[in-house]
Amino acid sequence: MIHRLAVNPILFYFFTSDSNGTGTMNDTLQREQIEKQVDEILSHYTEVQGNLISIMHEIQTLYHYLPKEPLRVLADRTGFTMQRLYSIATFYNHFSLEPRGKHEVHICTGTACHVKGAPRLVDELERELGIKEGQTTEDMNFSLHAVRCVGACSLAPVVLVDGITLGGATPKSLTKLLNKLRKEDETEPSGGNGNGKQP
Amino acid sequence: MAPGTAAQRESGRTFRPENVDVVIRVCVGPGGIAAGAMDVIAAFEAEIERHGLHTAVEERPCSCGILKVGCKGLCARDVLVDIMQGDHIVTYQYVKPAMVPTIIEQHILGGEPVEKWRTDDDYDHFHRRQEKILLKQCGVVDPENIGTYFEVGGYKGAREALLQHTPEEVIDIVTRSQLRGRGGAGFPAGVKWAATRRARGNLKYLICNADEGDPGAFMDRALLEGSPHSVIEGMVIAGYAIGAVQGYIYVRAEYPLAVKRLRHAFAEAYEHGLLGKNIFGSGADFDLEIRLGAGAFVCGEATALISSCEDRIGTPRVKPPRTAASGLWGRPTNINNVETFANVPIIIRRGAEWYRSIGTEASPGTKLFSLVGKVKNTGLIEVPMGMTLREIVEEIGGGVPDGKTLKAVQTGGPSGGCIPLELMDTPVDFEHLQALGSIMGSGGMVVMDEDSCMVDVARYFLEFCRDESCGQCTPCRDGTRVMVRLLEDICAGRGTPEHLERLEALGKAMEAGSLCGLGESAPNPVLSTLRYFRDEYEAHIYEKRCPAKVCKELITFCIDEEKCTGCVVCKRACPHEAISGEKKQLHVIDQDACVRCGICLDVCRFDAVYKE
Ligand SMILES: Cc1cc2nc3c(=O)[nH]c(=O)nc-3n(C[C@H](O)[C@H](O)[C@H](O)COP(=O)(O)O)c2cc1C
Ligand code: FES
Repeated sequence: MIHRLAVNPILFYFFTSDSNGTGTMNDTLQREQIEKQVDEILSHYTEVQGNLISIMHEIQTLYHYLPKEPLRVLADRTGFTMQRLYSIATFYNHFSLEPRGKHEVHICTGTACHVKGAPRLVDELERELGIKEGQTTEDMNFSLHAVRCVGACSLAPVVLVDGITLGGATPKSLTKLLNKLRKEDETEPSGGNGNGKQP
Repeated sequence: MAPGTAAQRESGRTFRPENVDVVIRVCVGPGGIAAGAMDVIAAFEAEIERHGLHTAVEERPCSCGILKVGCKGLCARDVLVDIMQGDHIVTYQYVKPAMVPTIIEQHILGGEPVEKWRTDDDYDHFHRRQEKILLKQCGVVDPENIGTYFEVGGYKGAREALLQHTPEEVIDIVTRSQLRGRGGAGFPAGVKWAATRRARGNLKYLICNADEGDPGAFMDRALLEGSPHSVIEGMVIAGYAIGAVQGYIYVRAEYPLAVKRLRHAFAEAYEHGLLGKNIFGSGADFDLEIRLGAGAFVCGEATALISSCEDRIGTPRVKPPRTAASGLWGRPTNINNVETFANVPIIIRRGAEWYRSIGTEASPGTKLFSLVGKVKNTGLIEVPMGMTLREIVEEIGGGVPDGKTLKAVQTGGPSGGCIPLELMDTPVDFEHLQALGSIMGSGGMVVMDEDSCMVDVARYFLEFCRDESCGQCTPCRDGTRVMVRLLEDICAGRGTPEHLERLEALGKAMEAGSLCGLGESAPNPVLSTLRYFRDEYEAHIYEKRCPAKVCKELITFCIDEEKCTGCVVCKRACPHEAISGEKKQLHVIDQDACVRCGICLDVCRFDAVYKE
């Protein structure tokens, strides 16, 4: 958690493109749009104090991660320092400073799921997707994250795909599901982003 | 109780159970939804529409209404559906949308229950030994309809507390009931309330801890999603008792549905004047808001939770001062767990003496447990304190499935310990579990059988604590790291007797030197398994053998010459091309290429693959 602050990706994030034209969120037009979006989110709250984490949740729901630009707007609007926002973004597991895949696969590694074979499912998914836990596929289609208990322990082992709970998961049922998603994406290339969907 | 409030209209077609002939009760608890309850409900709605069953007509005097209810307990059998005709209830298990037309036609219209889909004896066994006080509401109340909560006596406790008792009297009742905090430590709730009431300052806060970070536990989730008003009602009473006008419910981000249902319940409560200004005309005010977590286990700790509510990272602080003296924004703050609050309205309504008659002398009342892992009837249970582990696992849980033998029960999550088979007759209450080196914790109960390696389990929990340590204090941050490394060594067959000594010494140092409960209790899973399962550690160290055949470095997969038929299924399934052999010839596993994923063992239909 806080000691992870020292790792490189964050520094990288800090110092990379801001106004040099290579980033994706940097022309004025986008800045204006981002300001509008952040203001819209802020308008849901009568006061910012005490609601910072909720606000950051909303930003992450909108962009599927926490890009630098909206955080900067948030800092400007609220008076929180960027340092404070980064400390929160890096401390809490739920927040991500890196873009996540179109489909988010969360595999539960809570105790109930662990004793019912979650470690094997992690191995299987890593192999099937060709990435390690915590990573996103190169085509930005899938990201894989281990989470600790999603509160559906009686159905262990549990996998959440785009927020939908899959109980009693097996390597086979997972492969089937991934293939289904891949196929759907093929037939509908601009297919809706399932992220943030609630069960 | 006006039918057709804005909130109700939103939740679809409304009906009052007494106005229809058949009530179809569908479980929309965590298990139900995951098993597809929403699809089942849609199927029922479509069928009701198709048969025109919304209202009774002359030639078919039968009307149906669907009631969505919270967790019914036996999640392993979800989706559970009750068909209620008056007092007569028939329960179906494993309901799928495709089964719905038959249920409607044969049972509701034809009067013949579909026997093969009904719940069996297990369902009765599961419920027989339970004593449902908190969960009673969960299975009958529609979490999105406050009217159904009124029908089971909802908010009567709050009315009584606010109109008939002084705050001091309320505290006195709760103190006499000896209600103990359900968040883990078992601190008497009344004593804590009194301290917050006495604390100086006119602005005080009340917080409900709904962070439920223990993996393998979902009691709080089931309560919040199944009966949100019982928690709100408990908080209204507590707010009145301690003199707080602002409360917060801190919910973990993993529970979006709980947040949604709470928001809905807040709106209903405000609409009925149960939150806000001058509640019941008593002059007492109370407002409630939600605070969101973001995936940090340590935020369940009271001071870390407060830090998180103050827009900061969740780092605990040294106590004292206690939160009762200085909590949120430096004001006196009272924190209790979800389940603690849910007990309060019932205690007010039925009295301290009644409450003390349930459970044991030192731990009165009931406790919710999530009974999960290697047990037949996984689900959410409520039992009086003092029931033995054996009764819980064998009678309610139906024992371990697949003819395996029970090895241990893990209680208390990462701060708890593993209780071995020999001690299954221990009564479950705060004192007894602690004496065994475990804790009650919030109520997760994970059953393990002979296939679980206790060294691997200890490593698992230490990894958890390592990842979740906030990193402030050295004993916890570095202690967990070193412990994980030592345990990894043992699991990989690199362990020496010295490893065990170091684990024990380090465990003691962490218990003594850590800043908060996370570090203090992190060694518990190791120390408790060392105490009861030392032989397993020794097998790993001296014989380089994993008795449960879990630790990958210490096992090999082999093919039985007698049983192998040369069907090439395993060869094709092996993702690492480690299996060779022609069709109808004996197959062989190349041990250097094998990564021990176990797929061959799963796919073999002739039981020819075995672990050694
Ligand atoms: C690391 C750690 C995690 C905790 N997690 C929780 C939790 O998830 N839920 C909870 O109610 N209490 C949790 N607690 C206990 C709280 O600190 C606190 O004792 C409790 O919320 C008080 O409520 P109670 O008196 O009603 O039990 C945790 C404590 C520690 C040290
Ligand atoms: S342990 Fe996996 S859902 Fe709880």
